[in-house]
Amino acid sequence: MLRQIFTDNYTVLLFRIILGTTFVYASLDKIAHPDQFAHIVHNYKILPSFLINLLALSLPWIELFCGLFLIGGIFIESSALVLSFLLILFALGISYNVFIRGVDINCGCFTTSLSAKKQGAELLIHDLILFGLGLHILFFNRAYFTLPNLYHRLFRKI
Amino acid sequence: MSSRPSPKKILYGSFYLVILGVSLGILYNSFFSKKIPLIGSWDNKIVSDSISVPNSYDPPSDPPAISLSQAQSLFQKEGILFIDSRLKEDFNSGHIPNSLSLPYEEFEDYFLSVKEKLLSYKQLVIYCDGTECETSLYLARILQDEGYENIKVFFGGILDWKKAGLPVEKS
Repeated sequence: MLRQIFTDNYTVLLFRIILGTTFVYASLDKIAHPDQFAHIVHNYKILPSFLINLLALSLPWIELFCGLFLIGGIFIESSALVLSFLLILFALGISYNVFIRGVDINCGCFTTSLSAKKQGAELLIHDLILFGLGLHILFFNRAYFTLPNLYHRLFRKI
Repeated sequence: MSSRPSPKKILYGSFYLVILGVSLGILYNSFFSKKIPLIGSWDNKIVSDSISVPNSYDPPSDPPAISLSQAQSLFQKEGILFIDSRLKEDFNSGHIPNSLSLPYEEFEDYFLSVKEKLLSYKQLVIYCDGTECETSLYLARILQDEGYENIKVFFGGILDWKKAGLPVEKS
C-alpha cells in the first residue's frame, strides 16, 4: 500500500510541483539582484574569485528553467538531476561554512537580502528533503500529466 | 505514451539545461540595468595597518577602518559607542558588550529611536560578522550621510572579537 502511494503517478506529480515551484520561487529574487546574490556566493568562500559573478548570473536561470520544466513535465529527469546536483553542492557549501568555518552565513536560498535570517543546520535538513524529492522524481517519473502529453492529446489525437 | 529516457539522454539533457541557464544568464545580464561584470574582483583588500577590508571599501570617502587592537583600545575608552549592524537575533545571540543594535536591514525602524543617543558619543564604531559581511560598511555610509562624524568601521567584527577571546554579551 505504502509502496503504491510512494510510486504513484500523483505522488511524482506532487513532488514535481513542490520541487519545481520551490526552485522557480528561489530563482526570482536572485535574477532581480545579481549583485547581492554574487555577494552571497562570495560569502560561501568556496569558489575562486573569477567564477563568483558567472555563477551568480547563471545559477538562478538554471534553477528557473529546471523548475519550470519540472512543473511543465519537459526534460523531467534531466531537470531533476540538475536540481539534485545543485542541492548536493549547496549542502556541501552550507556544511563547510557551518561545521568547518563555524560561520552561519546567509544561504541566499530565497532572498538576496544581505542580512537575511540565517538558519545553519536547519537549512541542511530542508535541503536534504528537497534532494530526496529530486531523487524520487529521477527514479519514479513516468511522465504523467506533462505538457508534451497534453499537446499530444489535444493536437495529435487521431 | 512516453518511454523512460536512457541515462545517457538524461545526462545530455542536464548538460543542455546548464548551458541554457548559463547562456541566458549572461545574455540577460548584458541587457539588464543592474549589470555586473562577468568576472568580478572579490578578493579582500589590505589597507594600512594590515586591515583586511571588502573590495567595495573605498577610502577616503568611506569611514576609516580599524583593526582588532584599535577596536579593543577604543572599547576601553569613554564616549565610544559600538554599533552592531546585524539582525537583532544575531545581536541577541552574542555581541560586543554595551554595543547598540542598529540592524542595517531595518534601519528605518530603529534609527529614529536612537538618533539623539548617537549624538552624545564622541565616536561610533560599527561592526557586523566579519570581513565577509558588509552591512557595517553600508550602515557607516548611511550614518555618514545623516551627518554623523567620527565613524569607524571594525571589519574584523564579532568573529575576530570572539577569536581573540574578548568578552561577548548576550541579550
